[in-house]
Amino acid sequence: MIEVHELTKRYRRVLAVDRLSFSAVPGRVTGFLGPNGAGKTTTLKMIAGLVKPTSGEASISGVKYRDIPDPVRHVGMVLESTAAHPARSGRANMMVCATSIGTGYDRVDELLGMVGLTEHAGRKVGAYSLGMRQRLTLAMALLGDPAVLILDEPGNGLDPEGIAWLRNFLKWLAGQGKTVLVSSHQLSEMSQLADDVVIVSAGHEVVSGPLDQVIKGSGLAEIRFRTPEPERLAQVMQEAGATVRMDGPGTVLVGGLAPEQAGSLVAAGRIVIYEMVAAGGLEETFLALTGHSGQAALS
Amino acid sequence: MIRLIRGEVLKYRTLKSTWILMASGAAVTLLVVFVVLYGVERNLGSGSGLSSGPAGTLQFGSSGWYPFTLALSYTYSQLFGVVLGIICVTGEFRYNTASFTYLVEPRRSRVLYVKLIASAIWGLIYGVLAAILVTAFGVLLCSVWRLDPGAFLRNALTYLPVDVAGFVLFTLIGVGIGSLIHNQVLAIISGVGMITIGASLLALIGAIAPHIVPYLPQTALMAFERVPQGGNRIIGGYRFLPWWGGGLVLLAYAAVLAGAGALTAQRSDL
Repeated sequence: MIEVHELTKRYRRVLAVDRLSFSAVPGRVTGFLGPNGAGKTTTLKMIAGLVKPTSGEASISGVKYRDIPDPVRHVGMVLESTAAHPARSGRANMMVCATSIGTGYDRVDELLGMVGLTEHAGRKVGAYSLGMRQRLTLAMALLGDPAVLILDEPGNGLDPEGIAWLRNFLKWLAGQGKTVLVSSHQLSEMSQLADDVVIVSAGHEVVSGPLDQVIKGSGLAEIRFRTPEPERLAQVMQEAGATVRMDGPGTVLVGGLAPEQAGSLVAAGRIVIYEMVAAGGLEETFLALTGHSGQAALS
Repeated sequence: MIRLIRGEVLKYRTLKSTWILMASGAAVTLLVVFVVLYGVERNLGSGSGLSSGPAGTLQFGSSGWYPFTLALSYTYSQLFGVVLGIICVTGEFRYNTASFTYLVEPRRSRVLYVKLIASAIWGLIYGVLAAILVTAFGVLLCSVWRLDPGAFLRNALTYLPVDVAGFVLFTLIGVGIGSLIHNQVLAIISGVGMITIGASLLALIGAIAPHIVPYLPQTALMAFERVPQGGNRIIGGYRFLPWWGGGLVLLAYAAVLAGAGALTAQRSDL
């Protein structure tokens, strides 16, 4: 379990992180979201002791990182895709780490296979694509078979296949009871991956909690219906206490109801619909809560 | 601690730059050996003195000849040792591998101790390889040019421990410089400049504060390499330290630089 309490970092006049508190629990993937400059990387580095907090503290299973004996056997971190030396081969980088940690080289081969780099293990890392370097640093973080995994933008540079692989892999790790904390700006991806989210902006926490509750709590969760009977559908939904907006001819946006409830009402009223999709999600919630608009703020 | 040292030793071994630096240093030293022995061979033919300098005319094979002409030639390859030590530390920052190193061992001063030990091991390997090459090459040339290979071999073996220790000391100094100056290019320029402080600058320092001169890296190195011979340790008007004193001064440079680097590392954010 990762616990962050009142963590603050000030660089001269810049307040990078402002009394940030949150926790990430075992068996769940926690998404750590925020626009550029929100203090995500600084926070993760403070958890690992790479950056000294101005005040506050961070602990892993109740212990500060620097006080954990053999820390990389308990905590795996992917902070930068460039953490591998470009003049060494992928395998040599892994061997150096394995030697320092005290794990056998059979684990090196196992992990290189797991991240799909066996064929490229002998190549210099300088010749790797960004996605391959991401996979390698993930393999390096997993060398000690840690119970806690902290990843900073792990999806950067991955192709769609790689992103899908990473999502399933991290979910599988969380399913093994590991604590997984992932910072990312890929909101659509995080909405498929995270169980819990911590949204930060300008160094302080905006909201945190289970993903579905955060979206529901924002009041932005909506269901989009396409129907030949928009007036009747709107009436049924309003009678059930939902908020209703018309979004063009034959399109109704319904808020304040769970999809199961809305679906039941449509069935009970025998209303014809062509389409029913969740329209409000993490991205809308994030943009509303952080005050940013458009993808430019996230990239 | 042992596995951290093994990891650092492996870092050296798995980088091509380690081998390129060592080979370059050895090649430069072999070139110097060739030039020096060629000069001896030519001068023998004309019957003149063999080698002269601040210490006076020295005869090939005499006790003063070897350290004066050849041991100092090691300085060139030892400079590559300094660079080796610098790269050991600065490479971590240049290629962002320092974060993983500090994740494995969060106590940064301990990381520096480990780097010092691993670098000393590589300095030793480098020194032994260079000494073997120089000795073998020198004996071969002496045989070909009908000089006295036995005299060369005796001298080479006599000074071998000091020469090898010089490699270790210089690699440690490199680690110290690198731990203080993280910019690789700046650290290399500073390191090489510090060791090869020019004669004019030496004279300037000598004029202002002559008592400091024996403690400068270059003069400490000359003392360590036993360039000043016998009881008279005065060259160019400066009194040199005994050889062990020169070694201690070099070791002190490494310790002070590494200590300052460790203090800096404790306080810096990555």
